[in-house]
Amino acid sequence: MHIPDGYLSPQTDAVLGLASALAAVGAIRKTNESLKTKLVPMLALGSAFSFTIMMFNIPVPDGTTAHATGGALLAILLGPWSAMISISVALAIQAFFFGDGGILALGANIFNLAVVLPFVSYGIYRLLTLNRHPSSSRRTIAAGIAGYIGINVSALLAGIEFGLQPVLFHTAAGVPLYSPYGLNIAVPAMAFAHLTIAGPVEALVTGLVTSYLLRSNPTLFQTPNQFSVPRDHHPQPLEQGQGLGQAQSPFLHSPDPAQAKSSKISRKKLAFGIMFLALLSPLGLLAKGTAWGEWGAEEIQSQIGYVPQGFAQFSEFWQHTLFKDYSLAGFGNSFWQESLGYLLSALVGLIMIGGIGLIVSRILSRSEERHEPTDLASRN
Amino acid sequence: MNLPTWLQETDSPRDLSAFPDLPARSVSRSSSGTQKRSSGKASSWITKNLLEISQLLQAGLFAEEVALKKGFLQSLNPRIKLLALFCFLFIVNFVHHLSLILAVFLFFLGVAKKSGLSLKSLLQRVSLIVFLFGGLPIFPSLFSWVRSGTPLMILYKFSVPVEWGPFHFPATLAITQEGLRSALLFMTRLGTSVTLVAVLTLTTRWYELLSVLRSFLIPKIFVMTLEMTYRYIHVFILSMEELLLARKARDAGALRTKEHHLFIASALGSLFSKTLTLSEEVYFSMLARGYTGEPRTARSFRFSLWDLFIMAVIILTSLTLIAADQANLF
Repeated sequence: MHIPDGYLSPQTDAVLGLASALAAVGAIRKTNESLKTKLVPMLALGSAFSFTIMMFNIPVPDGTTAHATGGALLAILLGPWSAMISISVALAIQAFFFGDGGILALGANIFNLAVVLPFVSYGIYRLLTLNRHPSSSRRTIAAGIAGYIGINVSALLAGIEFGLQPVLFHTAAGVPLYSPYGLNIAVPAMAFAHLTIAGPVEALVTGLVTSYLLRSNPTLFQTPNQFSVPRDHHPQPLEQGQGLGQAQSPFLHSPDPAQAKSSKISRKKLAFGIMFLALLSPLGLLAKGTAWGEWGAEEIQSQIGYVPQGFAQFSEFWQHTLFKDYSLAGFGNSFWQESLGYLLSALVGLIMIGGIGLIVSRILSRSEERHEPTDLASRN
Repeated sequence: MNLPTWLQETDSPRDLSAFPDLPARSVSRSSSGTQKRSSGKASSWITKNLLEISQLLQAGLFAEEVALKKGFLQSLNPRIKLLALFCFLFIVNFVHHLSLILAVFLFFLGVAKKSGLSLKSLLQRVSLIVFLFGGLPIFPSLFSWVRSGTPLMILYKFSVPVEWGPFHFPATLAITQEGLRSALLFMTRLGTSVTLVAVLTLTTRWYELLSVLRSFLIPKIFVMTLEMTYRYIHVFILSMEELLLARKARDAGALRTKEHHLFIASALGSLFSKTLTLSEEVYFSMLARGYTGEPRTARSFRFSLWDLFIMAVIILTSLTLIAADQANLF
């Protein structure tokens, strides 16, 4: 259920990405500042475990195989917040290094699989194991149900996200721009696949692994939702979701000396500033009127009533420019056409400047020392 | 990296006559071949997992090989490449004109060629993904029975509207104009997105790609976790491979699906226990090496004027493409 790029509009991706980012901020806040040092190796290995589960093929009765997400399992074992970070990291690695799931759609995938799935599953698991000392079989069954419902809620959300696309994003002629199926098709299709195959597989993996760990490593379940190592005894149980041991070393609190920032304005900063201003230049289109002192013959005529003779003479001189008024002929009909003219002029100008710079730097580097890289040609 | 030959045989039931000590039931079942649960078939999921593990490791090695070649993209600052990836992915997914998306696609094929990537294997990979994740799911939306629209090609005309149980369909079954245009746009977009990601990530070494994420306002804790995860994925996958190989080596006779599932549960469960122990050990070894919670990288990126120039070109090109799309000149 990794959504590739192209299924959802960038607007949907942005909204879901924002929701995921907020959840990530919550996850970081939940973990106590002083415990963060220990958090990194814990979460990294949790993520690697999550990645391994997601790539594992589970045999299903018809002879083929299916994948589980392991989201519910991680939520039960690590607590929902740690599970969230672990699954998010695993999803990010899949998207960036293995082309599994889109990069723009990463926010949406994290929202469905790393935020909603673990929290729903965890809630259900806790609800079903409310009594003080639940039996092993009760825990196993609760884990299975949590996995089944969790993955189905997550699939339902994905179905809704797909189904909203043709409603919200289509051309004037009614051509859908992204996933073309409406809610009436997308939701039942996703629900069917997950209720019949993916759901049972998730339930199976969650239930059976929980059952195995209950037998082999029962201390894991004594203080629920902790990422704790059995041999490492903590005097006091941790808060929910912290999921970490408190053993700290005295080295940990030595603060990093803040690096003094140089106040010198470097050439690069200047170049950054200029580039930023260049990018802002189309904003000028929004302003009425012209820049002071940059009047053309028409503006002077309208302001002072006549055009001075010398001005008229020289304004004729530059008639043969490529991009007159930084624009293209026939591109003045709308805001976007005008912007396109501006931007194309800027792009051509920039490429020309870059080209000239490159030629000059080549000539310089040839005439000077051969192996000394010049500014423009130097790379990392 | 290939699987040993004895592992490459997959679904064929193995000759178990060499194992006279095996229980009669398993020998008779697997050698007869007519039984549904032959040993070969039942354990083919192990082979499938092993194959996938070896493919994953191979993909990692291949990416390193490409990233170490000398080429245009390899010479660029990784930050610039990530910026380009985000800008162009956004454009490809944002613009409505097929011609603009195709232009980006062709441009990146050219860039891939300049960076020493094999166009043939790139296109093979992309077309497979476009077919599986684009072509197949989008296919039904071409027809008027699934999404109504202006008919482009009428396939069949029934005399009366068709009714199947609760479903009602109009009398004409046709490929619609809207369906075709939407499918083309969808598949081009998917293919171009996949190409962009493949070209830009394959030409960047993994640790560079990860450390660049730091400059994109992503909290340090996430970036550091990402970096460690990438390393430990390989450790976990190798231990999973050992587990499965050991299992495969001992595998003989028929097993019920339930028994396979129990094995999977114990494999994943023991892997989780290993995760806990290992993470504690890794933490202590990090402390022993002076880790203070503040991640540091050995390598720092320098922005040259050339990088600034490329960055400005990327941003201006992106804005130009968006303006061109919105200006509706095509």
